[in-house]
Amino acid sequence: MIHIKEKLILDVNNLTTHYFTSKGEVKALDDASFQLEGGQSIGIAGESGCGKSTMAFSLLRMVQPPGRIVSGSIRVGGLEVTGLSEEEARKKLRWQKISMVFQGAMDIMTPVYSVGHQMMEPLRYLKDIKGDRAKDICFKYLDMVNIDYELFYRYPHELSGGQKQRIVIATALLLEPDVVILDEPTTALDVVVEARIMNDLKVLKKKLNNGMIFITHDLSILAEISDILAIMYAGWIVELGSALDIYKEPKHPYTQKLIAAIPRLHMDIDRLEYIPGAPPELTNPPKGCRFHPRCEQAFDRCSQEEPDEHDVDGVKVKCHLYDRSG
Amino acid sequence: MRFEDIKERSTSIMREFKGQRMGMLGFGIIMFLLIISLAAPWLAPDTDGLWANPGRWSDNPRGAAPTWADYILPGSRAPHDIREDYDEIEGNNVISYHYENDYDYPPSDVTIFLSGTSSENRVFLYIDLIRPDDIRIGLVNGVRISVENGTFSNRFSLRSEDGRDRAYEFGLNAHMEFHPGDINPPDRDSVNTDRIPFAKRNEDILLDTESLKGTYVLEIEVVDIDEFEDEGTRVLFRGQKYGLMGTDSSRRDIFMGWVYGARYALMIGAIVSLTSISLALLYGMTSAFYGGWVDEIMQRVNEILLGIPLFPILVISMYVHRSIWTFVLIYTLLGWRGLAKIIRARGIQIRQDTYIEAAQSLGSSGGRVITRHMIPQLLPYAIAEGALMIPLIVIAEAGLSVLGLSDPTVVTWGRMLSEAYGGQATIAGMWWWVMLPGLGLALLGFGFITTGMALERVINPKMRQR
Amino acid sequence: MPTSFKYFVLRSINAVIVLFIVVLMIAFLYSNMADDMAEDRIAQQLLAFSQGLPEELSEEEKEAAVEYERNRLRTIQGLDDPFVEKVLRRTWNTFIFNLGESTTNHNYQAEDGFVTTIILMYLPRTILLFTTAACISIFVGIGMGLKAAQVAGTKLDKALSIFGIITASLPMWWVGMLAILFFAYQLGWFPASSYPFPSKEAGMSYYTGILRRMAMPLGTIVFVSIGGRAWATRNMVTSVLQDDYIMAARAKGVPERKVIYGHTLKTAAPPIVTSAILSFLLSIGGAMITEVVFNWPGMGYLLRTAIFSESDMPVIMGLVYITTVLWVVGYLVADLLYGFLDPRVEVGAEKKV
Ligand SMILES: Nc1ncnc2c1ncn2[C@@H]1O[C@H](COP(=O)(O)OP(=O)(O)OP(=O)(O)O)[C@@H](O)[C@H]1O
Ligand SMILES: [Mg+2]
Repeated sequence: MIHIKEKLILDVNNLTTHYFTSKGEVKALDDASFQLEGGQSIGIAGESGCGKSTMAFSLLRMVQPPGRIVSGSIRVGGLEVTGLSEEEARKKLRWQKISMVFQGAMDIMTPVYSVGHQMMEPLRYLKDIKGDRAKDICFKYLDMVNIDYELFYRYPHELSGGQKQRIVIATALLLEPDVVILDEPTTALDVVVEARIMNDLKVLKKKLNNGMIFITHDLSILAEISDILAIMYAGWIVELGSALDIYKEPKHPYTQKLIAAIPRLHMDIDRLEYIPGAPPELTNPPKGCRFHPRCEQAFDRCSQEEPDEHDVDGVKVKCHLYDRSG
Repeated sequence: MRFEDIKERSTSIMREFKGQRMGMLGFGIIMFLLIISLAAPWLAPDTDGLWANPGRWSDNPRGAAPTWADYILPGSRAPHDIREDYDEIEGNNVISYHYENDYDYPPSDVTIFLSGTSSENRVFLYIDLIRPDDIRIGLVNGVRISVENGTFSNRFSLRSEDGRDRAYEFGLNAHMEFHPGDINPPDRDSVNTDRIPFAKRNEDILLDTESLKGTYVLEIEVVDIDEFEDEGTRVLFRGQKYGLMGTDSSRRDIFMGWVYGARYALMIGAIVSLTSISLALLYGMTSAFYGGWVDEIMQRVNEILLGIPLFPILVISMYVHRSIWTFVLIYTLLGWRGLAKIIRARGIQIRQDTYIEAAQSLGSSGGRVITRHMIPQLLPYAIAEGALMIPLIVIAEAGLSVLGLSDPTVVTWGRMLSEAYGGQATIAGMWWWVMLPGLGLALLGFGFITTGMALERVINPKMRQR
Repeated sequence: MPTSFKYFVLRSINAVIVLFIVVLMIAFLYSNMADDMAEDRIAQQLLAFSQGLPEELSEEEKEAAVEYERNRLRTIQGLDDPFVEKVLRRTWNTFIFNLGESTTNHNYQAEDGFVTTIILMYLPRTILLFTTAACISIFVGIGMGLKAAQVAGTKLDKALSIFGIITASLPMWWVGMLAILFFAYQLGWFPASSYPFPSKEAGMSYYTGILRRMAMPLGTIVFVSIGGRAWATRNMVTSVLQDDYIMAARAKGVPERKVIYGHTLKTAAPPIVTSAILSFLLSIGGAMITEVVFNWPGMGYLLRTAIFSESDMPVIMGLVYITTVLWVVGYLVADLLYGFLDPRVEVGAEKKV
């Protein structure tokens, strides 16, 4: 047991993060738990607005106001995150233990600083490495993401979206953090560039030994790159387990729908499934199971009781269908 | 453009606008000003065009505070009291008026209009003021008035040269009694004689008067009169307070001017801003719609135009021809430039968006892009900008007036303030003359700015986060 | 750098073109009026001339002499030239600061009647008042705006916004009049009028006198403009603060101080700086009128005096021209600063405001 604990680089337990808006409390993330070992990667998938980014921001201790971590614990590389002060989080946690590639890459770089300046910032402020040494480190990572050194001296508006995204990825790797979060790293890009970057990421993943968290609403991308899969729905992790298992045999009705909705080469378009209805308002989620209004297999209990997490062949599923006790 | 589109969009904008508290307040202010200015001919009869005509205002007090000054400032002020009928008549030739002075600030002036008939070819006039302390001040002592065709008329004022002489004599008399050895008493022109007839007879009478309260009798005797004529015989005890907004130093009723000030302000503001936003829409949309070299040229031209300063051009053209229409024309000619630039930028954005959409839905003609997309999206925005522009326009007009560049035929708030400056209202403490017309400008500014900003916020939800 | 030099040259040429166009417009507007005034002056000169003619001349001879003189004077003034030529000549004269002579110099007490002399006497006072006010308002206002953006949404922030909105809708000079009523008439703290202006011979009391007279107009300009400046700054900063790169910078471990004064301020600087300059240029008119209200003997006061003298066209023209020049130069500076501060602006490229 102790041995396993040592290998854990990320240990999230019962994490709950809400946004306290004037229109009510947005329950964006409720009771989420998962673990990650060194060198492993986890894919987080779910429809838009289900709380994926909220989860990522919580891990960085950077939930945007009016949001707040309500309860739960996060340990990254042995460091308890939730109790850190803002200054401690900046100095000890972010970028050194866990870094992130933000969603929406178009304006992810400050327009008035050169690429180099922005790349070197983490080295300068967190490691006190400046000048040529910092530059050398940057170049090393630029190499890894296949970016020409010349771009180092340019301004962000002089780069293409794909170039920008690669540089942002390089910047995230700079301090060799235990965990790198990639929040929809390719959604702003066209399909060809997307494929290339995903390929590069695969290579990188093999080369480096960090843990990685991939966030996307496109399950097909995750298949090859993630070891573990977490499916989210309306603030809940509804299914968590080995990616292979889940692809092969999805358990949760929502996951089943999601996987059926992935277009496959040898499939008729009209057999493609979609999920009727829309995800709920998170200020006032449905009673019982949050998915029940859209679930074809729902029964009485689903609208009454919140389901527990059930271990089914090593996969955790939050669904009444798998309750063997009652 | 389809009518339904516009109707739908405007009702949705209106619905959201109602949720904006500041915006609703501002809109209420605009409505208030609008109603006042529509009712101007009734609220302020014979004002437009007669502002510079002293005859129109001769019955009013000079420099009187607003009536409500009594509630917010210490002391009580004499109201404006016009007597058409005398209180007593003795024989046929002596009439008298009784005046109850309960005020800390007694009447600012007494003006007596007389007319009557006589069979002689001249009459003699005597006017006395009998004070509560039983002192009788002889204001007129047998002045000869000639009679023509059996009638005569005359006018006397305490503020006339003669009136001031009499008041000063009375005051000096008292002063010498209290300061027997004073070899160098203040002369007539260095004291305020207006208040002396109604002042306590004490050692300060020439310098710092104190109102003597009680009943005053104004006794008028005309020797060898046949009959006083009702029409022309009357007395004005001119007040220290008057109307809603008081009067200026030329006796003009500030409220009446204010009402027309609102009318002209709204008129000028509305004309200039409406024409400006129309021009801006036309220019900006043309530029955005055609794109390419047309856009390039139109942008270069606009860039040059944007460098032209408005203020000096307004000064020189108003100097050459002082009229609100000059102002309106010049402001309009230069008022659309900045807005056109913004409209163009947004238009281009809309065009790109709709072309993507058009590519999907196939076949969206150029005309449809303009009528279905550009106008419905840009018009509300232009209206919001137009509302924000109005205060600048009105304040510019007012400012030019203070420089002496106002249209002599109309009353505007700016002109009133310019007159207040010329009449040294600030130095004399005539706060109502300074504050109230300016308050009009401030209200109008606040009304349009809050309305415009609320509109902007409704139209462009991204700004709501601010 | 050659590109920025090219940018500078292009913008400057643009500015000169604008200046020329404006002067042309002005000359066009006032040309007829200037002609009328010249005619009046010639009529006066001719009257004096005919009275000064020798007695012994016959009526016909006198008339011929007057006629000859009339033609001579008209030719000197160029009154019979075509309209276009007159406008162009006036444009050029103004353009090169050949502004002519005042008709009522006794009003201004300048050394000589040349318009340039008169304006040079009044201009420094405007610059003293206006630039002091501008500096205070811009620096303090931007500082306040930054502070408000950092505490966006709090009571302090809201109060500042309302203050900014209300003061922005007030005529500056009217606030000046209220200030006189309150601080000069009611409380007697400051002189109600800057007249008479202290003379330089007075030594130390020259400076204290100026300071005492300057306090109220300066306070007024700052009071009216600072709220709007703070508010505009706040809005530009908050909109930058919402951008993703600010979040990214924070995540990268950039200290908060560097996030605000580095990333945020540097990004928001181009629009903040240019809008500060432009709005100050726009308030030149208001500030000149404020001078009038306080009898501060600057360009605005000079302008009103010239307007009320009813005949002093050259001084008015000169003032209009100088204000135009100030504007165009200010506009150019704002433009160049924008290009200098924002790496995204390149020669010929569209600037993003
Ligand atoms: N700053 C905020 N204030 C209030 N509510 C927020 C805020 N940020 C996110 N939310 C709400 O929290 C919920 C989860 O948002 P989140 O950004 O985590 O979704 P997501 O899964 O990342 O979606 P996407 O795939 O579109 O990025 C949403 O309902 C969203 O409306
Ligand atoms: Mg997200």
